[in-house]
Amino acid sequence: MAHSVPAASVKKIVIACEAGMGSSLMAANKLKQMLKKAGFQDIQVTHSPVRALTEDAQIVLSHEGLSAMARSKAPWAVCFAFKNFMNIPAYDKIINALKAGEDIVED
Amino acid sequence: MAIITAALVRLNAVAESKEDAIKMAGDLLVQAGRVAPAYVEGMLARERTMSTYMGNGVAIPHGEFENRADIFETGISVVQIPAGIVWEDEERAYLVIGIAAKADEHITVLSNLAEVVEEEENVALLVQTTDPQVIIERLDRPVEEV
Repeated sequence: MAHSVPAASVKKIVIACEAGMGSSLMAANKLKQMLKKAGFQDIQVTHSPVRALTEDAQIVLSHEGLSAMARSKAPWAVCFAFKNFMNIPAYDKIINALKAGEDIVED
Repeated sequence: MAIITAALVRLNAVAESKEDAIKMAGDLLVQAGRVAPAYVEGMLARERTMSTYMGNGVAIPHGEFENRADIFETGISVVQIPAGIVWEDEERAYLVIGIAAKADEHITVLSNLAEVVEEEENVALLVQTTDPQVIIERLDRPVEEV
């Protein structure tokens, strides 16, 4: 059964990378802007090293090279993987689901 | 201390390889007293496991999680390479941004950088400038809280 979270209960999205000091921070910034534009500014977006993920992370996005580690560090979370930090297809998927009030379902 | 200063900007550099460019970015951080020399090794190691190429000619080499101990002060260096250097596949990097961050003090610079990377013209402006202040002001200007 794929992990999922209902749109209305999404409170925190985390972009994870290895060191948590560069790529994930830049990628988080873009998602914050997209959420704000779509009217979901109350959803918290943070960045984190994959190894430091905490249980309040409901949705975790990480580079495909780290996705297995993200899955094992955050077994509770809806996880998405991507290839390019500045072009993350899951952003649109998440925002469309939020707008439609649907569950956000893992790929 | 300012995250980025003129001493952390190197204009009109010529790199022989990606590794060479990463060393230049790392050496600026070392010379400015922001990191220990070992941090540069961490930057090279990180790049071997995963590319830090962000798109539109910008790469952001930085160390790995373990290398945080080699950071004295948060700092960001900029190496401008007008001819570019092959980074991955067909992609060339023209701006190589070295990052050493202890916490999140550099969030303003990276937010600005994220904006710059979005538009090719923005990157071109910083690749062509002959004034380090143009780069510093573009990357260190106040950002609207999002």
